[in-house]
Amino acid sequence: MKWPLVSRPLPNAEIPLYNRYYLHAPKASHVDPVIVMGTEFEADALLAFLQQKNRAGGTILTTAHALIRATGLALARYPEMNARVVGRSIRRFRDIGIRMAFFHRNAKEIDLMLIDGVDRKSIEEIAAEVWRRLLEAARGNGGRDRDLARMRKVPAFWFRQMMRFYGFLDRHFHLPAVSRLDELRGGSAMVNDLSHAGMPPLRSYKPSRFADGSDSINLTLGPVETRLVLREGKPVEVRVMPLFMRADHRLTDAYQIGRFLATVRETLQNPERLQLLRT
Amino acid sequence: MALERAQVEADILKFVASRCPNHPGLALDTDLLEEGLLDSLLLIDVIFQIEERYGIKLGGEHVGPAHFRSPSAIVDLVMSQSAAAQA
Repeated sequence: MKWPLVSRPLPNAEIPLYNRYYLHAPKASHVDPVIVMGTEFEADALLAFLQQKNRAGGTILTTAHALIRATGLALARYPEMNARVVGRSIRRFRDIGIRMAFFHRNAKEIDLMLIDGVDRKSIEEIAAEVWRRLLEAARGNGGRDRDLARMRKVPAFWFRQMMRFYGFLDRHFHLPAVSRLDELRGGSAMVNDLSHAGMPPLRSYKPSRFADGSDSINLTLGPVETRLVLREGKPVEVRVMPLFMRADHRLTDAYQIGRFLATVRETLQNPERLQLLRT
Repeated sequence: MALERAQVEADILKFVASRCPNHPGLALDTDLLEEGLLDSLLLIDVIFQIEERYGIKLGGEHVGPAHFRSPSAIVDLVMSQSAAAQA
């Protein structure tokens, strides 16, 4: 049993008034606390970095692993973003855990995995863990997969009652993570890598919010595109990738979200920073 | 029964080509990583194609660029794992 959140909520004095408007807004006001921000970054350095690492051997590294690592480093730098709302209070996470959406080959549907301690793991360790868990899920013989198989059999009526009960507890109480299915509550950030073949060029993307209160921020990567830019007066071809972020106005403000997104962007544009380990 | 390399090459090339329809010139020595063709979906599918067709079990330790860089490298992996299983 793990307690993903620190035991005490943030004192009111530390929560900016503007966030408290959203945090304490009555339901009748239909307040929408979702902020979405999109940018793009020059991907040549990142793609070259991954190619160089992959030439050297070891584990296959992809843009998804880079995004997980870059998000983890940004959360370590801005711990105020590594938080969630519980009831009408804000609690920070003890650890830096990141959820990643993936295609579950065995079940032929989307599933999520949680990678914890992302700020303390190298990109190679993150990649190895992701591949191991993808294989485990594809075989469908892990404990979590057995739990998911049981969940799929629950009739719609009872599924709804379970979700209502679980959602009520999750929204209102400081809870431990007790099972293989609710381990996802140990991470405030979710990443999607939508840069795979077949995706259209992305101009906007509003990631949905998963049905639990821990999913405070989301970062989504889109596919590579080629752009013509001017460098020292000469046209140069560069590869760019779109990057989108969803965040919660009850926890953060647009300037903080922009700063966080800029940090992830800078890390992806300067991928040698992915290798920096926290001391 | 020992696998025939030519047959494995044809099988692997056909499978990978079927998953990369926008890359008609796929050959045994095409660098899947440099060409950006090998994403997690394809990699996991290739691993399970190998497991189901040749009865070889692969683990996380096999998910390295040396084994999946090209269709030819994948064939090498199949042949070496098959030989190891029979030894």
